[in-house]
Amino acid sequence: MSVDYEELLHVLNLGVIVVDRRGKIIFWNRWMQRHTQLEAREVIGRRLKELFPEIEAKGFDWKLENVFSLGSYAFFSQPLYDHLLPMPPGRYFGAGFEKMPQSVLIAPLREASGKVSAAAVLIHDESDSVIYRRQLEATAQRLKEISQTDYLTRLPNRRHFLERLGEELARVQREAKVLCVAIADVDHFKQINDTYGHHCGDHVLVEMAEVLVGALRPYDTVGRVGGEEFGLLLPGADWPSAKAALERVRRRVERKRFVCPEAEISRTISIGFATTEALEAPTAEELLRRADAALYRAKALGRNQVVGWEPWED
Amino acid sequence: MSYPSSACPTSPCILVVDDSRLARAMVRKALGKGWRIIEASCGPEAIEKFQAYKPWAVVMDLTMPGMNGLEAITRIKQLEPKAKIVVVTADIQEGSVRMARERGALAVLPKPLDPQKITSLLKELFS
Amino acid sequence: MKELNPAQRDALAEVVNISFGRAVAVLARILRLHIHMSVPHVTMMPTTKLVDYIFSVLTEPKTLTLVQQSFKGELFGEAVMVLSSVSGKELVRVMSRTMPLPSLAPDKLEMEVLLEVGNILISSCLGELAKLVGMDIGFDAPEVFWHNLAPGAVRPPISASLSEALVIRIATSVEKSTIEGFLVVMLLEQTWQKLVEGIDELLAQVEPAQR
Repeated sequence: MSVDYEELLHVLNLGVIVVDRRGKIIFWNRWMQRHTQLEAREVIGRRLKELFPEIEAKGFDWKLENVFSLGSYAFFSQPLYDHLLPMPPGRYFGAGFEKMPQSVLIAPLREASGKVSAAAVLIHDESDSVIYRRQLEATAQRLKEISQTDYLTRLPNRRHFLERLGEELARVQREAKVLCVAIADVDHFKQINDTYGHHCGDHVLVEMAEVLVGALRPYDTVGRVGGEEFGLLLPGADWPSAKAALERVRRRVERKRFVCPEAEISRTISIGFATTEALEAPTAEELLRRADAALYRAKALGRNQVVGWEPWED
Repeated sequence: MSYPSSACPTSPCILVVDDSRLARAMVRKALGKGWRIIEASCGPEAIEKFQAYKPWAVVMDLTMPGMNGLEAITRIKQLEPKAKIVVVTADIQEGSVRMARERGALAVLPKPLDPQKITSLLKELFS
Repeated sequence: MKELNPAQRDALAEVVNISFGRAVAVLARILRLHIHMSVPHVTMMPTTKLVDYIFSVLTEPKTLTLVQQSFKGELFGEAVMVLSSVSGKELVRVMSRTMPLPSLAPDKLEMEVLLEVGNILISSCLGELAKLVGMDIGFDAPEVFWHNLAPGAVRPPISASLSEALVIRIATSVEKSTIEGFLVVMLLEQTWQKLVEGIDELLAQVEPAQR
């Protein structure tokens, strides 16, 4: 039984081109024919860069020369080059490629003496890999969002808020700036649930989130850190400017009419805050503790107010 | 061409200098029969043995700890300007070859040493 | 880990010296640069100790870039070119002056240069090593699989089957830039045994009387 090995090269699901040292085509398999619409008899004897001038800018000549002189392999990786030879995509459904993404290997072919007499340029369609990789990236992104976001208000959840606090604190240390950490708590929130039901309570929280975000600057952070508690980060705000900004927030909430299907209601918030100015080596725990203590004092003083931490109790 | 016959009387001798025992053994093997081989594993030892044995030629490695090959070549050339030194090295870059030649090496051969190359070179040197 | 006797250790060091020297010469030739090379320092260790060793030896800042390439054949395992990220950037900068560069965006260009250097260094070095010990070898495509790896970050996992590592310390300078890093060669246990046999064979060939 004799096997036709040349036929094997035509049957492979791989582009196979054999070239000489100058890039002149010696062999062109059926896969190449199918995907370039160029037949073997049209291309044999011609130089690859004559047919595809763009390979020169990709460094093909240099890599090919190394294969011949060093006997090493050369590669064109898909994530870096996307493709070596421009070809129409092999996949149409669910893909959205303009050209076929490829990974290319150039392998030395030695004769009996050991000398490299030709090189095989092997082209692999990477459409599947790219599609798979995109799906993976999209899933990872989605997972990240889910793990960081509060489902109701779409704000950063507690974990993400704490991460952001850590990041801002690191920046404070690096750039010697200030940071204000505040906790805002909706006054008499449970009454809403008791009187009008949970979906009205949820609705108020959603609208409250919008008011808070709208009342602050784009680079401030608002997160939902508890049932009716919001965490606020104001980078660059010292004690006086934090007090002023948070006062503005408090007033906006006070004026707001929250509209539920059942009723129109008003609510106020109490805010406690602390800044890094007063601390030698500010930590997240200490800032949160102080903000919480200030919030407690705001509630004790009658609610609907903004209280900044002072050393009244320590 | 004068060979102090007192030190290497009966057969021509070669001083092989390399810190690696395997490397010295590989040179020894490449040189084959017909040479008396003297070995040194570092620069100072090479200079010492050069003075003691007055070999016909020196086969020297470049990368050695302590005194490197280039320095050893310079010292030997100071002692005997006509010393025949061949460098055998893993580092055969253009710049390194040039530096070795400037110090007085007659030839620079790559490792692993090709027996044909070294024997024909030595034949040429002593013809 | 199998202990080597002094003759074997010396032989391994010389084999690495020749292979690495060959790789550096090749790189220098195609990059058209002079690469100042000191004696490559070789250590062997179990792969479990690798990462700690590397971080302990490198100077600040200790972030790493890794180019990995698998090799197959009688010599079977993985090679990793480890460069401090600073060295990686230096290397790219230096090579950009003499190496014909493909037209890629800057961040991709950096990756491509690292891949190319890694490919040539690893395949020249290990190719020569394989030839010296009489074993065959073939290579897969190289990958930049870690960029700016910091000491505290998650470590790249290493399979337990790759038990032994040969660590070649790279300290070279190219055009007044210092390039600091390692070439790590991780081998399967069986491959390691075969390598030692190859070294014994080499010793036997050149020193038939004594070993």
